[in-house]
Amino acid sequence: MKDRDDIYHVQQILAGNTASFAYLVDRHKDMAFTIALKIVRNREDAEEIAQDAFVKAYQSLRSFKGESKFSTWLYRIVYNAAISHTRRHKYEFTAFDENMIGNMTEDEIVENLDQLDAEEQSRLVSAAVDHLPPDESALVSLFYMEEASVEDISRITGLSVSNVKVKLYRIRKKLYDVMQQKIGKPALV
Amino acid sequence: MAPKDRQPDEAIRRLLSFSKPDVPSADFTARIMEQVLAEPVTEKSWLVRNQWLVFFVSAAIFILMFYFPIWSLFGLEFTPGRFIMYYAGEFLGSAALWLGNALSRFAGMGKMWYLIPVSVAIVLLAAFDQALRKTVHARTA
Repeated sequence: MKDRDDIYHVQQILAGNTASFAYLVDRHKDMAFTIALKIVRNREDAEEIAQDAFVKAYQSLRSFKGESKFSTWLYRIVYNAAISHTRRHKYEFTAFDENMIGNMTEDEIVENLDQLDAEEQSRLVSAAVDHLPPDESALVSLFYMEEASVEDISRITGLSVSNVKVKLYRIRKKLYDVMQQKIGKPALV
Repeated sequence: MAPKDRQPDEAIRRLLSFSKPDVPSADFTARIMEQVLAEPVTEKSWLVRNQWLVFFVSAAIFILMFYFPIWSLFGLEFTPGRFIMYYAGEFLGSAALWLGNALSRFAGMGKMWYLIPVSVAIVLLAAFDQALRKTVHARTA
């Protein structure tokens, strides 16, 4: 239904009703900004990237054929712009230290997390996501927060479907490992 | 993903459900709309959208008319009562003659003869490149 709303507004814009674009911006700005922020790790840059991506999307709206969701098409523009930005500016991020991996099972980690209140859980998970490399961090947002399908993520990132699946599997393992470190259990490896 | 992986995956999903997407500044939409309203999307005419096609077809017709001024359906005269196969035979014969004449004109151009096939190749290459780009773009959109 939401996708049909997007298509309707795209048609409105193409028919000359420019104000309809405000609807699309309002509907997708949070996730567009989140994708950019997860990749560039800087609010000002992320906002500029997301803003430029929206303007670029508007200018090339005629090339959107409706073969994918509007959001998928838009997020691909944002993702590519953010990745290009990081390549140009050579951002550095703290890599995940695999030597610090502990020996708790994923279920034990979840049990430990369940003992924390919602706010603390949210803080821990967010911190774990921030430990991931920029592109993986964006993948998490798309898959778990936007609930984008693997196929849509493949279209957004340009990775193959099987590559996205493998990445998501590895990301999940990394998230558990980081959370394990953060909930304070000593590593035994 | 394998079934045994699903449960922890759901746990991650549940944990991340507490996290909300980041929110840009309050005037984010207004700033975009300011830029967008300055240059509304307008429907381009068919001529503008296909300007390169029009240019290349016009150029090709011009070249053909300049070098090969034989444009009268190969001199065929249509008479009622004759079968289509008769015209087809006549047409093929005339077309072969026309092609022979055209090729002999290439030969008569001396060292410059290769310019025409090269120009045609460039045009075809450009058209192929455009088609390829559109296909890739359609797949990514």
